[in-house]
Amino acid sequence: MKLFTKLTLSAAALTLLTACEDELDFQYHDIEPLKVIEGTFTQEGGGLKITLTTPMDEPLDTTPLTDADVAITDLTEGTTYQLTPDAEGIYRLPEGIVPLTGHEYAVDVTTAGQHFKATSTMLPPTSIDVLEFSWIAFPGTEQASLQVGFPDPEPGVENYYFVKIYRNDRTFTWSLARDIYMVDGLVRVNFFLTDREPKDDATFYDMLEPGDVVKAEVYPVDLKMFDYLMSAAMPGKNMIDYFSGDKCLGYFLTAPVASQTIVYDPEKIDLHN
Amino acid sequence: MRFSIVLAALALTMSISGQALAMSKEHPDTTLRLNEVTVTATSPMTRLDNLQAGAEKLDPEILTGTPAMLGEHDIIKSMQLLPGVNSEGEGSGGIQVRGGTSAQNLIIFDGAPLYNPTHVMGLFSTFNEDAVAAVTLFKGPAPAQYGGASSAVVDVMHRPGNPDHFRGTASIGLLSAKAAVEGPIGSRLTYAVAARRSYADLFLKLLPDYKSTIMHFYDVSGKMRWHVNSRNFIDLTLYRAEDQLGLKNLTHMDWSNSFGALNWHSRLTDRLTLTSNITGTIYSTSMWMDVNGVFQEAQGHIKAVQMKEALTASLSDAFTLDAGLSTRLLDVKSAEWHIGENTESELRRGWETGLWASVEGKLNEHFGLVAGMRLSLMCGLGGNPIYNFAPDGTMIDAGTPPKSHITKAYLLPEPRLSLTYRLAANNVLRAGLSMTSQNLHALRMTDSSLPFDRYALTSNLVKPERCTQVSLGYVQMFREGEWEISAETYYKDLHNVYDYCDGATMFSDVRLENIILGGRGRSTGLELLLRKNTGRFTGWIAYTLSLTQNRIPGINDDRWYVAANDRRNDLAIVGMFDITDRWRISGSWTFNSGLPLSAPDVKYDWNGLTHYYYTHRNGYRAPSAHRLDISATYRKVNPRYSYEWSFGFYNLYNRHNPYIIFFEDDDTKPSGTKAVQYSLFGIVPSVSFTINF
Repeated sequence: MKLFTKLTLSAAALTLLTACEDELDFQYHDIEPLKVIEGTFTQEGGGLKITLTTPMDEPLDTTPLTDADVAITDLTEGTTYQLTPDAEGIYRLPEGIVPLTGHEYAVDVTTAGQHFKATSTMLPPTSIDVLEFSWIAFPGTEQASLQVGFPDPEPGVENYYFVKIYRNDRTFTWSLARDIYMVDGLVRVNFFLTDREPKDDATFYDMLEPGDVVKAEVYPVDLKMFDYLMSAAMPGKNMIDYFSGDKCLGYFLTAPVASQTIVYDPEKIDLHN
Repeated sequence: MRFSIVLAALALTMSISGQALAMSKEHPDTTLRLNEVTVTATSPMTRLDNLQAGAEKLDPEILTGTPAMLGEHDIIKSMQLLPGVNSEGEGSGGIQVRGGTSAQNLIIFDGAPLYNPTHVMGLFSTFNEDAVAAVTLFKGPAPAQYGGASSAVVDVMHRPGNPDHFRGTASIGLLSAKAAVEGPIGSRLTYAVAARRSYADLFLKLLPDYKSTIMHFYDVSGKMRWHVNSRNFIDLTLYRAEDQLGLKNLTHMDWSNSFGALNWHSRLTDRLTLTSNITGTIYSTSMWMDVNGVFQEAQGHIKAVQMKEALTASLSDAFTLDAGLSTRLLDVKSAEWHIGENTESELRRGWETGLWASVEGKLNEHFGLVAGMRLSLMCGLGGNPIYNFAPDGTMIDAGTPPKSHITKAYLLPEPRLSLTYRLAANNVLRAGLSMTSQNLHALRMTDSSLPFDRYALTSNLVKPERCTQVSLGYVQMFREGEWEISAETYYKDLHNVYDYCDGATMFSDVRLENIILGGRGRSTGLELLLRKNTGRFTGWIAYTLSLTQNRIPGINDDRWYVAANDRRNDLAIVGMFDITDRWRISGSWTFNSGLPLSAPDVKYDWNGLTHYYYTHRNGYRAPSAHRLDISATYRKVNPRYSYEWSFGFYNLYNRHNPYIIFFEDDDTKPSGTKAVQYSLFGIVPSVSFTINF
């Protein structure tokens, strides 16, 4: 449905006859920086990063904060683990500790007199069974559509999924899915990734180059995370708060990840329509 | 400028009750053809006699005389040039009145309600000017017979057909072609039919790259009037408008409005008239896409069947009484989603009844009033799954009650009062008070209405939207109505204004009641008008100063914030000049303060992508918008036909007015971020040719 939203909004653009684009000289308000906590833990490891927001007229600052007390508690077993930052400033679980399927976890972050808390449940894993490109014909161009297909790990239970796409190991785009997206036994998500014809002024996010390695990751997520991600898909509005306690941005996710890669080769892609 | 239109006095009763009787008194001989009266260029001074505050009976010819975008004259869009009325944004065909949104207006056509009656994703209204006989706009207190709108009422009447001879018109412009015919059939029947269709798709099919493109709209309407006898006539009106947009076998969007209306006007006695009305309206939307075997479709509809009985009694020479009853069944599908092999939908049904009585008249030579009361009863009906909220806020299933079961009933009194005080022969003071309610809540994904907005119906969880409005105005004419000045101020207070919860989109949950929250709204403003009504040069300057705010729990820390439809300053300068008998030029210059804008204050890295944080809802303003539109019309009249060429420029000085403002990464900028303004239209030329026979 994220694609639907995009289609609805872009439909207005189809009607435009003399549309034009201008850059604005925008004067932003000054506000105190907010903390941003991003914690993702999978069966393969993961970590938690704390950063600060950056004023709009400055380059994005992703320098991690390393002076926080971070603890993760396995609420199912009652065990608490203290996390320590590594050389890159990422807080890691102790060696050999990974989240377990069916367990609920809580994270507690304390820094500069502020406290933030969130929970997440590790759901059963899925696998990527379909990862393929096809050309979709649009007026005057063709777009490469990437379909990601994966089975529902818990038939009969409503599940939600976070699907990320990387271009050469850098985040390219993402989407959401539910079991209702199932066709022929697989939950299927389509991404329009690139025009066939190269663009002169294309940015990293505008299109793929032949030979690019495209990686898809699928995370089964709980409803709270799904709602959070749904709010992240809404342009021009804030995401809902994931953490309780003091105000901060970000999320805490424990989820099994399934991943697979494909190389973008325009000559080997079939036309769908 | 002179014009003549044929109206039925009783039909006028539907739009401005009381005035119709006043007219019939002025033209007693018209009863021979059941109250048909010819309204010929009534003096602007007669507007001072109008007892209804905030009401404007609009002359379609003047409205369509203003410059038009792409040569498409649009009666609804032309209203945007009036004080207190503005557009939703650049290029939008919807109107916002006194701080309301376009979805809070009631638009009726021959008594039938229309929902989002726009073409081309909202650029034009679906009203073909050739089909329209009269338009009345109620910005202030609407008469008690109108219910279901917490903002303005726009009452449009279809042409009934020329009773004397056949007439026709056909025109072609850059965007569409249209035709209309009307005339008598025998001595007791008249008809009028009008149709319009865009034709860009016919040319697109000739281009190989674009042959799969589907892009067209049309509207067609017809009205037939049967003069049963000297005391009765019956009107049948049929209407359909549809837009289609898509790519063959890949994606498709369409939305349509259809209605049928049967109106029986009966003069029971010389002092008593009865109008019976049955209408059925269907508004439906559908969009689907089929990508790599994954089919997704979203549908929605509003179906309304209504019956109405309206009685007008002349109590004395000075007073008339209007009373009536209307009842309407509503069937609202807020969404039906087909995704792959699965389907989800939400349907709500309601039964809306209104009972009203209203007295209009002059107490003495100075005082006049329209005092009415409407009782609105809204019953949510069963037949579909309904929900409740648990104490922790979780939505829980409350079962599926039988179709006839009333899930919740709301009885709301809606007083309507207009007072006028004639200070002198050339000026009048008007005051108004009204309470109104609306049971159909449009939930908009953007700040403008789109065909695919979802609609919530008042239910056990959703309350009727309530609006209280007070207004005070002054009108003065100079030189026998040649010049007119007016000033009007208003204050509106709204309850149960619904919006999506923070973080929710229209696709978040098929259960719409689970993702919306109700709050409050308020609006205040001052409207000033200077108008030249007669002579070779006519026109007006309209200025509105206004403030519109909302407060909805969970948004902006529960504090009041400037609403997305707030227009602080709104100025329109309109002029029309008859250079000769054949040439006419017209122009309009409009200025609007920048629209409120939620812009980010800071940015942050999120999953390897840049995201933004917005401290305040609508905490910024977009750049102001202004433009100059001009047109020139050449008209040649021959004995058996006439024709007209129209040339125009929309946005003559090519101002780039903001339509969408967004923020994005740009590696070439020191900050890595830029703000981009997207504008819909630069300068747009137009030409059209019309032939009348």
